[in-house]
Amino acid sequence: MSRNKLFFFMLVFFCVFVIAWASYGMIVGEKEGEPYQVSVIVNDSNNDRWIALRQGLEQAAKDYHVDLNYVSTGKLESYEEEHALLQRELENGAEGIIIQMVSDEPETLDLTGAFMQVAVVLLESDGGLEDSHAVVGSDNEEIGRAMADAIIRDFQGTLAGKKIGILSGGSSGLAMRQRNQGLTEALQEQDALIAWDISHIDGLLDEQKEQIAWMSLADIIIALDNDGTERMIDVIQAGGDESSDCALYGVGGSEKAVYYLDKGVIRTLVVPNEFKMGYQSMEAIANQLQHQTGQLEDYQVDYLVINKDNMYDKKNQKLLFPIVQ
Amino acid sequence: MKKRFENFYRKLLSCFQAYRKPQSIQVTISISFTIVSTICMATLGISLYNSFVNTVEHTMSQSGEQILDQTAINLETYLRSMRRISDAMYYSVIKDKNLARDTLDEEMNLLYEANKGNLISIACYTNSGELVAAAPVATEKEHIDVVHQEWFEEAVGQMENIHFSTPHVQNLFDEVNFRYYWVVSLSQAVELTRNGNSTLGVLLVDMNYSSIEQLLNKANMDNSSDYVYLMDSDGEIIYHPKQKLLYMDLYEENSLAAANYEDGSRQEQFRGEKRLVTVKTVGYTGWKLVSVVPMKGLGGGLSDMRLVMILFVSLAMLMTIILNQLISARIAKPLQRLNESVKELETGNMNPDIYLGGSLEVEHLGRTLQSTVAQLRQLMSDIVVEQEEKRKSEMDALQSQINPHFLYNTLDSIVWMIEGERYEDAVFMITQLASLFRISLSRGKTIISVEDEMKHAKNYMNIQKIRYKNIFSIVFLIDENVLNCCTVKLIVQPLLENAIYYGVEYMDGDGEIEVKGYRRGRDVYLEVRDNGLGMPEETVRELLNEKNQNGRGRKRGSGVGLLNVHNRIRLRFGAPYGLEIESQPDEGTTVRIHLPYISYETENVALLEEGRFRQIKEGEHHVKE
Repeated sequence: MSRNKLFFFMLVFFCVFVIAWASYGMIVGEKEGEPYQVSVIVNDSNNDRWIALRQGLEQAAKDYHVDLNYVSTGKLESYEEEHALLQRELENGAEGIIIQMVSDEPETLDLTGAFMQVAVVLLESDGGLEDSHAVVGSDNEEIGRAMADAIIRDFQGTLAGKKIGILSGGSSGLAMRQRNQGLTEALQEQDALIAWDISHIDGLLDEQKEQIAWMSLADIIIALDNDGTERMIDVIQAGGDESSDCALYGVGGSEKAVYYLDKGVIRTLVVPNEFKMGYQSMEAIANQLQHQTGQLEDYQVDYLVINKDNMYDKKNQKLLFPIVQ
Repeated sequence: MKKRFENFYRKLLSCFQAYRKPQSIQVTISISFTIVSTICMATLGISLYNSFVNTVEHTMSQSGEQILDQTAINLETYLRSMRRISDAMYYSVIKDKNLARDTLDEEMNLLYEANKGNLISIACYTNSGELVAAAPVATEKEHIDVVHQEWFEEAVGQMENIHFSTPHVQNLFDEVNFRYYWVVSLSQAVELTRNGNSTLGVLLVDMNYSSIEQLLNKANMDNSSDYVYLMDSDGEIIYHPKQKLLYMDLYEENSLAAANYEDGSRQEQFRGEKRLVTVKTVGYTGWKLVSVVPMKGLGGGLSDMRLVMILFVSLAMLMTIILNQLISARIAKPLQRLNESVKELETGNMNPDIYLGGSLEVEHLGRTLQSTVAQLRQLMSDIVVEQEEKRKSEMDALQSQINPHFLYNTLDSIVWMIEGERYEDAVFMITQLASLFRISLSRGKTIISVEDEMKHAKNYMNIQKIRYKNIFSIVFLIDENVLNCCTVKLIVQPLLENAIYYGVEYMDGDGEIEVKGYRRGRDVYLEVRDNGLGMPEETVRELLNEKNQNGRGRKRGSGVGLLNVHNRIRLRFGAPYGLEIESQPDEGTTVRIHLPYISYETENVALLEEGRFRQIKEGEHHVKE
């Protein structure tokens, strides 16, 4: 074949290639792919504390064209229940899972095997599954320390002689432990007396008298999650004047918690930015599904330390009172 | 840098020079057409695309402005109605009331009920922040510091104006169901009258932010990437479709820059993205509605157009390339075929198949070439004939040289015999002479068989032997297979003559002359060898030299000579045929005639007579193949 013929065929081939490419681009460009299915499993999904998270998830799902399935769950008592839910979602064709680990006990949820086939993001903590999946959540130890700092500030830098009760129960055991660790480390530096430290509050309402007794023993009560905070609000409200001297500090961002912060029942509320947690987790999983990126990376979300005085600040009110769009 | 540029320039130049080498017509036409058409189509495509982009941009800009105008009208209507509520409350209710004895509750509730779809609350405060009245009736929060809230400060700060706040969470009343409302506060300073004493107060109308949001959501209904947002005159966002993300620092908006834009459209670059931004200021509030159309979003539709353009240009290019090939082939092919005809002519084929076809010009060229070749052929044929004529006349001239000398000598010998009364010898001599002349004449033919040539030689030698009284002996050793071979006539006799005159005539001993004829492959050799005086090598070399025409053949004998024979053979058969001479002084001389083997057949003889030895040779060649 002469050089000129070769040149001619190359030109023709180039033109045919460009035509094919442009046609393909036009055909594919017109079709928008099916949205990816992403399921979100959190403990007690209808709890108010998840409103911001859910908003974040929905906003990201809308922005990234993802079909969000926010799984309706009750209170998950064990990892088996959570496992069953997970299994069901996978069978229903979920391509991505955002999950809050209920337990970090040795018999924790098995996220290997079939679960490795889908993109997984863990909320709040890794549940003991180190390095296996991306975690989107706040730095729990840092939250604990921030809480301690707020308490120390409120008590003019000294906690000597103050009795402290810590409630770090509920779900997400590891996250609670981390918060507790950060908190207690910071408090111990202040020679504070930790009167009690309860990891589980289940059935607590049935023993209200006992709780009041606890409160009478504690000057400061610290609840390290939203459930605990709300429960303690109820306990304090039920306690009447007897509990009025008790200073409540909590972690959480539910409307109830914010309301009682406004009412002055809670002195300080540490609010993890759960909208961001929801948005970032969905964004990460959507990016991985849509662009086939490699291993997802952990992402830390910020938190706010809110008290009655600063809760209406421009920045804080934007986080505390979500605009439903 | 300069050196690098020079190197690049040199490379480019050498590249061009390489392409400046002569190319075939088809390649030249095809490449030129392709380049020109590609440039034209690319220019056309780009121009069309740019024109389309401009049109789309213009349309989008207009559409953005229309949406903005419509939204601004809706928003202004809404805000006006809110102002009217405030004005109605102030001018129709508060101004007429003596707050020492009257309350505002009834009228305020009526106004609230009439507009509660758009309102969260209406409230009136004294300048010390004490609540005068509120609708709907609600419990005021304990220890609330109204005076330092932004809306209050603004109302008191500029009493003559109605103030619109940016969206914020209402912090006035206690909602038992944990509800908090996002509101835009409309506040103005009012005059409160108590028993004729006027005091300053602040009237607050908290508009439901959702109403503004819904109003603006209508402008952001479609799923395209363009959107409308609202900000105050300082660039603080009031509404944005991604407001929550903005609050969380998950999204950014160029509102601070847009706050300084004049009303109208302009392009801006934000976060590496080109956007078409249209700004419209909302009356009274100073708020600005901003429509943003990302060029990439615009490009969503444009990318399809781009693909269509690329497809169109590529298709056109493909067609042009193929069309160029066909046209250039159509133009160049006849020329190429004509060129091939010329090449065939160059190889020596005087009867080439000249192509006649293609365009009129090429056909004309073909015809001209055809007639030129015909003329050339005719001319060459004429030259051949002319040469043949010339050759014939030369042959005739050469052959005619034989007769007078020899005849004179022989007749002289016969006369001498008759005078000596040797009648028998005279009769033999005359008989031999007659035979010799018969063969010499050969009815005018030039080509005879070797057999006849030998007979002629023998006749001659018989005559010469008598003349020379047998002072030499002659032997003929002719192979049978050469007798039937063609030869130019009278070529052996001159050699014999030379052998006698220069070889054996003056030698002391018995002269011996030997005539041999044999065949070697496709060649025939006739040798005349004598044992006479011989010659030195220099003499041998000069014998066949044209420049030495005064050779030994000219002095005596028939006067024909070796050169004569050599030329006659060469004229007929060409090189390498002719004479070869070997001689040693006192040893003798051998003259060898080299001829091609051509069987003595009528057809061959006829061809040789016409001087077409080449044709015989080619014929043999073809047969051999």
